Amino acid sequence: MEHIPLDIICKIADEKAEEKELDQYLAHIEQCKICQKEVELQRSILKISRNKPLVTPSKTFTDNVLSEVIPAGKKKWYEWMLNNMGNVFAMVSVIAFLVYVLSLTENTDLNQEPSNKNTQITEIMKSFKDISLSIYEYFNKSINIPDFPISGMGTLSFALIAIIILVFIDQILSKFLKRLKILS
Amino acid sequence: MSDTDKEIIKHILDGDVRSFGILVDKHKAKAMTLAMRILKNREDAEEALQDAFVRVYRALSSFEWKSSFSTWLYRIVYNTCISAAGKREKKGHFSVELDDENEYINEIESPDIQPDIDLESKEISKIIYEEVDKLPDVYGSTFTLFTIQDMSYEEIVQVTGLPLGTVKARLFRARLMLREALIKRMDLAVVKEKEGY
Repeated sequence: MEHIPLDIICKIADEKAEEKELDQYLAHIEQCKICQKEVELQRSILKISRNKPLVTPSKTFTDNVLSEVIPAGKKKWYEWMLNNMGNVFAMVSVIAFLVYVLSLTENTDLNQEPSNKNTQITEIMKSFKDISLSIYEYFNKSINIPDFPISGMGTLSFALIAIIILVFIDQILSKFLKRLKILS
Repeated sequence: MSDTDKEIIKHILDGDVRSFGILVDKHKAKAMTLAMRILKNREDAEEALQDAFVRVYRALSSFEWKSSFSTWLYRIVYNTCISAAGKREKKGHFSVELDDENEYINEIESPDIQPDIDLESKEISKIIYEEVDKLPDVYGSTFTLFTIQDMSYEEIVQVTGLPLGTVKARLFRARLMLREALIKRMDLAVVKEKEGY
């Protein structure tokens, strides 16, 4: 006895056979145990495959995806702070150092010979003042920035702008490294 | 009651980026299963899937609801995984079996199965589970979309971008491979001269 082709069996099992095909083969299926079993087998294969347990990704998967997409969207301020702990720490340290140094310069005459007690600190302060002055003069020649005194709030403002530029460069560099998959 | 995809996407587009996590949690297991069928390696599958979800997020505002969200999502997952598989192939770790949609119907040479077997046995389930994982990626991915995602032929065409005939051919071949493996491993063939097929 000629059995039903397997592609038709699959269609019948999926209930996707056309009426014409059903009319042609249903009578045969009723009589033929082998074809009945084939239809059952195809239904079972589908049923069992549908019940097969799914593969789950790792526990951190969703967090990993979110960490990728949140920088492109809106990040809460404390999340930004947490992710930029290094930058925040560096900024605070630099500002603290500047405030400390400037508080000393107001009470110290740098042109005088340093006393034995504060020799090293005074030397550092003098170097810092000279470097600040050089940077200021260099930028003043190139972009003609408004005048402000090098000591006191002027230096602090200059340092803050420098820090902001550094953080900006750091952010761009981090994104670039992430894209190259050097950073996660 | 859980939110529908549409509601979740509305929240995300309104600025609640964290809601994207709900969308990821909702679809990640089925999408991971599809990725595994294509890439056959957990690490590669997870990396490709993460990449796919990031693409989904970036394209979310341009999604026009011309198809269901899941069809669109699986299209991105499928394309990302195929692209990852292609890159791996270039490195020499992967082979893609090509198929011809017209060649399947007349070349079936298969034994009949015994009519008295119990198709509900645990052993049969175990064998099918194992054999589904062994299906070549081209058949495994189409079969996964058909079974696990419960997609119609037309939806599979939308996801894979393949012609309808190729989708049907791949599905048929996948089922044929599972049937052959089952007959071989369970020794289900009728021991007599073949009458049909």
